[in-house]
Amino acid sequence: MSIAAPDFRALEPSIKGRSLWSDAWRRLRQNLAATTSLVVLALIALACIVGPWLLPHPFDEVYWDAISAPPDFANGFYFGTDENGRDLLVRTLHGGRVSLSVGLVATLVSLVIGVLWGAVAGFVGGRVDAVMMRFVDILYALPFVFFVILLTVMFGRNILLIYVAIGAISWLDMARIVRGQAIGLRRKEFVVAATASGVSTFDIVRRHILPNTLGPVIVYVTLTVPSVILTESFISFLGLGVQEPSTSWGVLISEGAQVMETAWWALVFPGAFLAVTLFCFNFIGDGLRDALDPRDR
Amino acid sequence: MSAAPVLSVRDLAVHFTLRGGLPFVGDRSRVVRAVDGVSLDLMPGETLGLVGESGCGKSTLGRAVLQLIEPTAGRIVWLGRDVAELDREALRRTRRDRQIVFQDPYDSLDPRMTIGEIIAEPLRTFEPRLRADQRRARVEAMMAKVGLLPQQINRYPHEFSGGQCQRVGIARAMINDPKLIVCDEPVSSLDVSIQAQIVNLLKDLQRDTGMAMIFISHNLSIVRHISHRIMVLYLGKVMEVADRDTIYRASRHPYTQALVSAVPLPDPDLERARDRILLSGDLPSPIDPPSGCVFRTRCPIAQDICARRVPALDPVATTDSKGPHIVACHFRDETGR
Amino acid sequence: MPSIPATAERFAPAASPGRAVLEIRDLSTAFETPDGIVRAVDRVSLDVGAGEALGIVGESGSGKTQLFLSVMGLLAQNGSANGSVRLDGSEILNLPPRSLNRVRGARMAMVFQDPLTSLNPYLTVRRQMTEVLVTHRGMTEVQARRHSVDMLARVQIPRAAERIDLYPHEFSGGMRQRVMLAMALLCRPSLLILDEPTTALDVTVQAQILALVRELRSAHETAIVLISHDLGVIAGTCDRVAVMYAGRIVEQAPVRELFYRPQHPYALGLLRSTPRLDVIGGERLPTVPGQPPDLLRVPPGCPFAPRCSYRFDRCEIEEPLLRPAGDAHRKACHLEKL
Repeated sequence: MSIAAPDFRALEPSIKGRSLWSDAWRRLRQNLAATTSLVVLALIALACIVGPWLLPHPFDEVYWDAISAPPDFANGFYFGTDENGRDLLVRTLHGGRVSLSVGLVATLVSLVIGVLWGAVAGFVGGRVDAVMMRFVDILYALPFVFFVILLTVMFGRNILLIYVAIGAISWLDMARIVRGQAIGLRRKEFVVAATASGVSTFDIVRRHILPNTLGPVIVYVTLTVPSVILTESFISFLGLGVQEPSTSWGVLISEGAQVMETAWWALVFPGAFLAVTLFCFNFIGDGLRDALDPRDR
Repeated sequence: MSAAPVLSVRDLAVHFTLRGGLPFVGDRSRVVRAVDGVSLDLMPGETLGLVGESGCGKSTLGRAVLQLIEPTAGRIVWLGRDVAELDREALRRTRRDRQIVFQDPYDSLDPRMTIGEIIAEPLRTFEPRLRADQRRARVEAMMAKVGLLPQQINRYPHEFSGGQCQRVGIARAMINDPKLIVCDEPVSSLDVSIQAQIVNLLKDLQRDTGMAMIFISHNLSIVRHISHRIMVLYLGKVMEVADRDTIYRASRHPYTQALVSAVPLPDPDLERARDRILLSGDLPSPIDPPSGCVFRTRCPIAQDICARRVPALDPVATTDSKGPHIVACHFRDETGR
Repeated sequence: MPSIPATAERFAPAASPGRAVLEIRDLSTAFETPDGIVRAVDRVSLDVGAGEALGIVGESGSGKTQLFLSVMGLLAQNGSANGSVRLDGSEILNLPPRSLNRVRGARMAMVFQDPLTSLNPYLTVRRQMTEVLVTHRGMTEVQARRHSVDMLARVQIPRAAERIDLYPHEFSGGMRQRVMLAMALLCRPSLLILDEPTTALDVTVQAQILALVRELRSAHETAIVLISHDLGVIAGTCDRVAVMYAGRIVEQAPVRELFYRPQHPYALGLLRSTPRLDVIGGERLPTVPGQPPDLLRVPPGCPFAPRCSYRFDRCEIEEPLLRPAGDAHRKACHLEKL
């Protein structure tokens, strides 16, 4: 015999529930800065991916008669040219491909490694946790630039190296954050309930810990991407990054800084792209944090 | 009813060590004796109520018998087997048959899972070969049984009220037809008008399935309503165990008597005419419990012997109790009213 | 401590409450939330007389706490209260903070459910108590300290003179609640509001605190409002009771009338579904079906209608207003007799 409890909260025999994710998405959509940033970012990404194919000038083609030419709609060099006579617009977009891809790939790597590492360490605890986090501490202590220089010396300048180097460092923060989350979650009653139900440790981490850490992780990811792009820019600025004729925003800014007084466009355009992209990620990250925070009860 | 208990516990102890003080400067570690030597036998189909006030250890005891907290000492025999002999995998498999319902209906449900997924999880764990549609059918059947609308299977916990979430927790605990359910203050967070619904539900389920129940609560009225036998705890030790009517009408331990007299009745005339036993003093610290009988510092009839000797948990000489009536008091045969 | 004989505890309820200390007329409190407007309190009127103990019974969404937070001027930012609240004859609703602060603590005081969060953990109890006296009664520190120790002793805190210098966390839960009571009574307020004062306490401690409240009440003729969801607590301590549901008062009566002759289906349902220690009824507890009301979606007509087994057509259309149902007994129900 069952006690049918009349429920006047959801009388429609609906199929779909209102998940916390959909609530968060609704809140995010209401955040003007975040939605604008999403649109702008999408446009930049689109331009960088598609642009170099559509534009008439190849990114490595040298135009001898337009060396360090200022922006000019007439001759088709909308951003001007650099001191080697290459079209700056297409180089900026090409550089965007490199910077954005480094940002995404390295962040993805840091996400996968960092989240798994942190979740396991935090949830299992004890000696396993201690060993795993000591490893993180050791890597943390590594001087990053030194590491990059070492890699460059051993393997030469290589875009893949950049991915590896940055990925190897950026997962550390993620691991720490996720570990903290996992430790908090371990005590939550629904995790105790899962243990009491006989769910294996692996399944608990997969089903309960990971989805519940996603909130802070997502926010952190949107803050990691700009940080990675900056790091890449920094490496390139130092001259250790991508190989010529390929370029990235960091390289462009580095070169532009040198001719800043005579060819302002060489610095301003790549710099503006980088700055706007970073702003966008930050606004999105802020918006996500606000959207994911209030828990509906 | 078969004679073998589903659960047998002997001298269970759960001690927490608090580390304190400087290293090498004396051993300042202090021990909280949350559960200190509790024994019980639970028969199939029986409900044992655990009552006591803060610090009595009832919640800790409830979790320790399920091994959600590691016992410091003592023996737990589950379905005839000593759990200490089980390896990790075998232990995990016993969880199919012994389950728990928690106090806070929201905290005990993963907010990112639908209630269908929550209820299905024990099924996936122990019957992984079930097809998705079979699993869904079982979940829907269970939902109907606990009074939830099966169409709401894809909704999330925050869309439900406290009482409904508690039904979800019960459904999850019941889905694999367990032999024992530990209910840890299952209705304390709910409105009064909902408490009765949930209590009725638990009784119905017990009657239908023949499972044993350990019902933990500080609300003596509800415990008396749902239990067959009641165990009264104080500072981690058992003070008295008897059937539910005896605990109310003819208890022999001064603490039980004080507890019963303190529970307010929703009846103005009776309430104002009652004799009340008011305890003096405060609960002693569990780190430094009184010597001898732990209750002696607040006991109205304490004597010298109470400080010197720990009273044994022994049967009373004469009692109306159905089943054994044991009391931990030196004066157990003299406190009758 | 031996058992206390019944006669010492029996007290004479105020025959006629004498002057009204608190007069509430048509008080409504609403909150603006992202999901809509929540009417937590809906046109409540009631009186409390000197020396009288009024019990307020209700569950989630009943508005019982918000009602008195409105009286005390302690509403959250997004809440607003309308209507009239008179304390000792003068209007206090929506007073500016400075005037309100002269009233709060001095002429009316509130004790909350969780003493741990009501006391400042960084100040000694002495500081927190003498502050009240120095501010409201202009005492010197020395006078204030002496008076505070007296009051602590009055609420049965042993060794009050030593304990007064301790910090809140060094007291047990029951002791802390006594400290809160002592603080509330320091200025001899005309009105004392107790919001679930014993819910967080053990039942043996609860009995001690309630005995104390009864004693203090008869000693000082204070008007007391006791808010609780526990019918046993209400039965033992109150003279009159008001039952609230969805922000409204649905029944109001002297305590014996309410418990022995309830006239509103909700009150009846609550009484029946509360398990009593002295009775083992049949197998099943009677229940009130359904869930507590969602204040964002209150149906038209009587708010209790969806859960009421006595409902008929009129109930879903027209909201019942409070009307007489016996001696000093009022109910908000279309039924003639339950």
